[in-house]
Amino acid sequence: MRPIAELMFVDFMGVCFDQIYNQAAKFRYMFGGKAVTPMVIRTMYGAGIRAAAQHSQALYPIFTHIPGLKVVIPSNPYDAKGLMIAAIRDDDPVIFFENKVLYAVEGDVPEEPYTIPLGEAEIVREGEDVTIVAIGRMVSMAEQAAASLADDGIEVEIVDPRTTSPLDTDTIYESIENTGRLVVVDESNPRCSLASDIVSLVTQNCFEHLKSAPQMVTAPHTPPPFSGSLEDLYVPDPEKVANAVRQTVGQGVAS
Amino acid sequence: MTEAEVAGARERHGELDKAALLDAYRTMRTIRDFEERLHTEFATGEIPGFVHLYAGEEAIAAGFMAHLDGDDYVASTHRGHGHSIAKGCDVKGMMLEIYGKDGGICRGKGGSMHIADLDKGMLGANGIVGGGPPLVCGVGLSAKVRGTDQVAISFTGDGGANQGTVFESMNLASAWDLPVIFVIENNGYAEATAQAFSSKGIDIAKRADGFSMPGVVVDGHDFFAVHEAAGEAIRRAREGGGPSLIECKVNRYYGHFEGDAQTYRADNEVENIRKEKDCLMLFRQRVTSAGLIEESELDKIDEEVKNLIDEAVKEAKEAPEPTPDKLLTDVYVSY
Ligand SMILES: Cc1ncc(C[n+]2csc(CCOP(=O)(O)OP(=O)(O)O)c2C)c(N)n1
Ligand SMILES: [Mg+2]
Repeated sequence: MRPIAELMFVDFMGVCFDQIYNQAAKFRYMFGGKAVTPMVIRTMYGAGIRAAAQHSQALYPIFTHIPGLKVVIPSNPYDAKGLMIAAIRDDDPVIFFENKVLYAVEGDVPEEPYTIPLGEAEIVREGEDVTIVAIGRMVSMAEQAAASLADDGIEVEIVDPRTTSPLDTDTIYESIENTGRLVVVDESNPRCSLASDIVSLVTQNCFEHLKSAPQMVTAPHTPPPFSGSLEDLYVPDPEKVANAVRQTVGQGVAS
Repeated sequence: MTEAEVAGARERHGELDKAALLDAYRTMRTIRDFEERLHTEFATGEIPGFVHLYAGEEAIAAGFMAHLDGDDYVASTHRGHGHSIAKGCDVKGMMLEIYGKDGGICRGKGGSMHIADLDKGMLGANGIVGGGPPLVCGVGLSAKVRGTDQVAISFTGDGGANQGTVFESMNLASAWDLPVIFVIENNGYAEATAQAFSSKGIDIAKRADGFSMPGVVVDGHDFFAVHEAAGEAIRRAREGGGPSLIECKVNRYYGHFEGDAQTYRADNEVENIRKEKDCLMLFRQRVTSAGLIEESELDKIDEEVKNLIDEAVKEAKEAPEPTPDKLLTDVYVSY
């Protein structure tokens, strides 16, 4: 069987976390390669709908952290289908993160089945000056920022990893070799996040190519607030992304 | 207060004298008006987030809370407005909270699903189904260790009753004789899932047997039935007799959340319940036909409650949202 479970909000994972991280994630290794756990868990993440602290978190770093789990975070409808079919056919346990705000996004999706390999990033936009690595819904924030930055003559390259475990570091490093500058946009909290992970990987592996300090654009180190006026400040937006990009090219404005 | 005075005050809580009956009616009426008003206001699009209404289930909150003091504890659910009002939370503060305003009972940071007032023993509505029972084990253990006669009540739905946290909490409370009451509000559905689909169909109260605690079923529309069962369990808990499980069979009048199309419900399901079993209607009939209270006295409460809710909504709409600096406050006590 290839079960697909839909677990609603990722915030609810707490009540079944053991089954995921101590059981499913570990069977294969602990049993000396004898087990397969070809399961997909779908879950919703992200802020932006006034759902407050227990229904708005972006907890994918926690799952990315755990060896044995694969983590998929599509940014658009086409990828969602291809990645889902790949996740189902994959023999490892996959946590499939769906940003709840993205459900309203429309896009062309072929009728027939197709797959997008897990662990293959996509270059969403090409550019020479700065690389933005953006996760899930943050890809669209990066695209909006890139459009406004282009008006100012800053050409941004956007990398959408599509899966955070495995992570396509090759594509990220190649992009950095070309641009020498990095901004990571990650909707989760900043500590031990995808942003801090990717910044650290790039710093270790591409140090000689870096022309400026990598920047992270994330939610603050707080739970998601309820009130709209605060939640709108919580989620990274195109302006914050553009600001971070300007920092990397030495045109930083105080935020 | 001396210990004797506290004990005396507690005694009186159980008694249904006229003042207590009027209080209970006011509580139920306030919850009903609060919820019905939210139902109409939500439809205008002005209220953010998820709102789960308690209308139809008021007799349960009122029946239990009539026995409690401010220092007793309650852990609620996502459907928490009724428990909060009955436990004494400020109605205007709650309304401001639901509108996401700075003056809200949680400063606009929690919203409908996280209304809490720890000074009132209200440990919070809860966004996590099955989140409450472990909390009451905690405060129940604390009360026991400190040697007080406080009790703690958790409310859980029929859906939530199937969460592991609930079973684990019942086991622990029983093993340690904690002063805890597990209330199951069985309204027949968990979101769109009928209870028969998710469990075998026996009364949830029967599960108490497995934990060697008393378990009873009561009609959750009947304030008096709830009040009586609650009184017995609470007295036992205060006296060191350990936990109880009380299943209240009830109905919710609105959708799971506001905006729920309710395609899973029969056509006249709610209409019929409202006609035959409405808790406010039953209460009114009972107290007036017994000659305990005049219709006019209840009408007066209706009027006062209506004004309160009007004012609460007006103030909530006009109140300011939190300022940006609040985003970063209250994550820790110190850091
Ligand atoms: C751990 C967890 N799982 C799922 C949910 C989503 N959810 C919210 S309310 C609900 C149904 C609860 O039904 P019940 O316990 O019967 O309470 P009712 O809504 O009927 O009052 C579900 C599944 C949640 N909030 N938390
Ligand atoms: Mg229910």
